[in-house]
Amino acid sequence: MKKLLPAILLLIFYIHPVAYAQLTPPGTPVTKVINVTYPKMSQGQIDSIKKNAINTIFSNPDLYNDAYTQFINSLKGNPNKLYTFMRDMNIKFKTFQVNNQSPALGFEYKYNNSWTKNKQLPTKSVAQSFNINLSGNVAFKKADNPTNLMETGFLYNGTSIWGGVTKKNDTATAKRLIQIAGLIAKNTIPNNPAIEKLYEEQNQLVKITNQYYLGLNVKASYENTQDFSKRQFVPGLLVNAGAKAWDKSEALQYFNLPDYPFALLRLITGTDDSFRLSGASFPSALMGVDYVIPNQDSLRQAVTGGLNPFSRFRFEASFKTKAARVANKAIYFSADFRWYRELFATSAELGAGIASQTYFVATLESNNGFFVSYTAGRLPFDKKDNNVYGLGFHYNFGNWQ
Amino acid sequence: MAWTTNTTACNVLYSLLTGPLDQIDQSTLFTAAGSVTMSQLVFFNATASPDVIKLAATGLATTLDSTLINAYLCSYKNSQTQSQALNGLVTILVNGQSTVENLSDAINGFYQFIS
Repeated sequence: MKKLLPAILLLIFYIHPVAYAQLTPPGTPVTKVINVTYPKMSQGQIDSIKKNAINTIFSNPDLYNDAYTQFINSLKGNPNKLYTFMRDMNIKFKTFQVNNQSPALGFEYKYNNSWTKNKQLPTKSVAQSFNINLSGNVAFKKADNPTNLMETGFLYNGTSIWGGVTKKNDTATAKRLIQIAGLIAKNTIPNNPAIEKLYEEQNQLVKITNQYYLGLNVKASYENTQDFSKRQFVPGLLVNAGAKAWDKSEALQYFNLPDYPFALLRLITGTDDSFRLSGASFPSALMGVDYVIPNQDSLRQAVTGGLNPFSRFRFEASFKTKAARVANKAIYFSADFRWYRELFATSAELGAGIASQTYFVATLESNNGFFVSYTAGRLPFDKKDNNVYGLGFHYNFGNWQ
Repeated sequence: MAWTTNTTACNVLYSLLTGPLDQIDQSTLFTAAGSVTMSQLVFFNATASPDVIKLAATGLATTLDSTLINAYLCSYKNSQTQSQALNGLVTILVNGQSTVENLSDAINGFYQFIS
């Protein structure tokens, strides 16, 4: 697969010459540009220039992102299951850089799909769902992959949700809300005081109660490294909890502890006109136990003398909030912390560092796609802890114009 | 369906996401909001695992459904059920590449606004 993929992408690239149109006149084949001969140059020099040019062009992730987007668009004309699958498959080409090594090209992929059934009870709503998730990072040179975990998962989720409901309005109020929505939508002036008054009126008419949710997950996933040299089947049981402090008159909002520094930052930068905690950005947490059955893990085999299944505790905490608004662009802060810990680990496993992994990622991202990220620690199967910095743009293929 | 101020579903969704639901910053004007993706909304933490995103999406879909039915007095179109509507909303919300316009299309497909 890893050898086949670059070939497919090259084929897409040649089919869609628009991807490099900004470098050459439109419609010029790459081969024609590369094969220009230069007098007074030796064949070795020409070959060296060609090689460098090709390396430069083909090591840029933007090229592959553009080509892939064109490929997706080419499927749009004839919607079918392949198009639906490819549309939902989130692929982002990027460069990997670990410590002081040179950048390496690769891609990240994510695919999520779900089927849900909901039931409304007097005090709560219950949602049940079945999910399929695929995710991972693939470096074209596997040795350069810093987050070397690919996961294929199936998940049953039963979620109970309390609150998050609004009171029943009368017809006149509902019509007024629709009228307010129309006026807000037609506004073209940022920070318009008249519109801010309309938002205040809307907030008075749409009172949402605080929301609490608790999920039970039964999971079976298959984890492997990029080259399948290590792989394992992971059933598990997870409890997932979260809340939203929609009601500003209730105390729940004050328990949004991670948002305090950002509320201060929003106040200092003038994003908010008062110290205001976000009800929508409440942190969520997940904890549970995975049952891990390692299939091929040479390090574990060397340490323990076998590949016996083991239970693994897993904890994840997640948080996202608005950090500030700069030049009329909102900047959001996202963070995710994960901790994996083998239960009843032996001293040998503890000593070899395979019993516990922590992983932390934090990003600052603007809605125009610009992001700065920091990743520390490691996921299961990563050989060592890494500190990885990222800087770049995210592309949303589905919105390509 | 287009992202236009002539459609009630678009207007209501925009005013809710920039207002009580606090998912989009109010500096994002209506014309730009249609192409905002789910991954750019506050509930969607792209650095988190799909388990976390799914739970947040389910919670937001429930709140959105309740707001449309109770505050805006919407009804379900074409004999569709609440379960079908929530399912449709969650499907859009968990896909980081879905846009606000996609979400408004779904709302327009499931909910009938009063006239």
